[in-house]
Amino acid sequence: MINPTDPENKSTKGPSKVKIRQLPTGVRGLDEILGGGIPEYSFIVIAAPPGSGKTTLAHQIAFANATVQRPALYFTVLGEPAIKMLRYQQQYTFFDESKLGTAIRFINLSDKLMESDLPAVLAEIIRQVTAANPSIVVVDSFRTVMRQAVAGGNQLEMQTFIQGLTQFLTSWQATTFLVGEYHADEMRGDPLFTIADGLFWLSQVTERNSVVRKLQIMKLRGQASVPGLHTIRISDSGLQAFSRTLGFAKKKETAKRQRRLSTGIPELDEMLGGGIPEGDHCLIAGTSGTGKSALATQFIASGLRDGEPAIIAIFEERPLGYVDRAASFGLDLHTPREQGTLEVLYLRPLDLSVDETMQEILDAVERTGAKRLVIDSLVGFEMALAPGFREDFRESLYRMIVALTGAGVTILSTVEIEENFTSMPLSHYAISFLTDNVIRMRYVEIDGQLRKVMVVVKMRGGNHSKDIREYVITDKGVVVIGPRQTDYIGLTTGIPTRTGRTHEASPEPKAT
Amino acid sequence: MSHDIRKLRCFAHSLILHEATVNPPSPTRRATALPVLDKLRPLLATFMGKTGYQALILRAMIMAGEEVPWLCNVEIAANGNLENYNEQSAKHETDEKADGSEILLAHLISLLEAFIGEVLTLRLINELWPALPKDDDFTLEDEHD
Repeated sequence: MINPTDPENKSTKGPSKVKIRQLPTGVRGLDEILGGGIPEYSFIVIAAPPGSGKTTLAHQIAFANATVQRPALYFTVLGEPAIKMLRYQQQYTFFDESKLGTAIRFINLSDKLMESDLPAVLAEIIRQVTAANPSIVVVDSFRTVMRQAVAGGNQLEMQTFIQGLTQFLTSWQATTFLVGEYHADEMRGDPLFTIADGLFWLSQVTERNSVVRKLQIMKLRGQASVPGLHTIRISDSGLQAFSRTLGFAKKKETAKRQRRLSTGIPELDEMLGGGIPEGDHCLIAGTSGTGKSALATQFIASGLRDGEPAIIAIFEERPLGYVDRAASFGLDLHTPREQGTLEVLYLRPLDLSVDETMQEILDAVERTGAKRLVIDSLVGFEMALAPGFREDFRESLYRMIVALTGAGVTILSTVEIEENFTSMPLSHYAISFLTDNVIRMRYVEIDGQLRKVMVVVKMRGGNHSKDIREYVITDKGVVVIGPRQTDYIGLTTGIPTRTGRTHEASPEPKAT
Repeated sequence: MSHDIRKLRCFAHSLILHEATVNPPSPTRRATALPVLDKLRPLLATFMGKTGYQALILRAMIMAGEEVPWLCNVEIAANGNLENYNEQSAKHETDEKADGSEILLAHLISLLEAFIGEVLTLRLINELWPALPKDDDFTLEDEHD
């Protein structure tokens, strides 16, 4: 009770605001999207076209919150029969059969609705709620209740029903979920959406052969939810939501240190002015076979030697092959994998969303405390996604890179580019805006051989060498050889013209 | 059907006897499935609706009727109640009566088990008969499982 004489109340603090408790949804990622959870005693509409996961979502919330003392009452109406609902829902891992009948009670209202009218249905809900004192009440499908009232031409009865239900359940301290099949164009003018404290909108989008499920919190009174469309997935464990902010909305940015991280190639470190600045995103661009993956592996191995856990996300090759290839360069990645300081994630999801894939990477970073991350390659990453997600790829990638580098993780990505012999493209993605540093590797034709050169094109954090350096790939990995090439012009085109010495030793043996 | 109906019949038999122990019938009457069904009906109708329960008991009745033909003459009310069960069973010998009772209940349990699985079916039954012994007679598991 508020005591007006209490000095606490007279102080600058003023009267305290009501604290709204937030209930967990039991859906991974959803609490963060909602801004912490479901506001207690709120009146939420879960609306969606068929097959979007609304009943599963309602079940997850019920199972996450119901107790024997404060049970969940799940009223089924003319929708899916409860016996079938139980048959299917028990397949999910969140389904705890020990809660059935005690903490979670299913009550079928279809007879009441068919035999009587809406006031009788409301009276039955009130009777059951009064007897059970539930914390959670679900009416599924609420739409069928409304349809019957509308078909009967009795709009007033319908509104009286909604009003009566909301007022009673709020007073009874129950958090209520009305589950209904709605299409997007039906939301205008429906009084239900005006009365509701929250509106969770689920949808399915078909893009070529893939289906993408989305969730939007269209309305939520009393707290700030994350706006926009969030990807959801239904798996054995039920729904999982992937926030557009990838969970980084509330994380603090770590101040970047000035430390330089070695790439594992001393000459390249020199070209970079001492290495890659910690917390940067470095892009390695080059055509197939130029040694991008070898360089990435050397970067990871260098960090592991310094005691920095790491993640390698690969899309085109299996982890064992990747690790074995590193061994051919004398780099032992097997041991750190066994020790848990290195995770090689093989992500070939084909039908996964970009947010889900990124969540896997983020989970691994969190799990290992990784300081270095390699994404090998961005092209493979994009190809592994369902077509519908490719449009969002750059935007999502940007969010993940900003979030991870902000948290102090140094990222090295490889990107395969289509080589030509007239210019030196950096990437067909136009992603250089999201990278701090760009290293370009390319073939050049010299003296009847395809030789390789690299150049540091961009470094946001400081000065760098502008030299074009030749390198070879040996059993030590990428090895930069020799000083900058001054004997040629036009190296960036791939077909240079010799201007200096007429004879020089080839860095790799020529066929005789 | 995932369980041998003979095993389920043993379960039904035990359940009928258990109910008769908890609520003994009059000395002149033999224990039947009716009191068991009378207890099951409101619980199942609560979450399936009366129509759902009526459909379930009708299906069980038809399946049981293939083994005990007199069950086909039993009428089922809109709420799933067996209207003339006693009259129909009275026309038959004691063993036939027992057969009908147990087989009907066995098929009903079998249907529940097929739809919602053994764990939830036993949970429903235990909710109504919490003192049901946890012995071999009260399990849906097949002997060969």
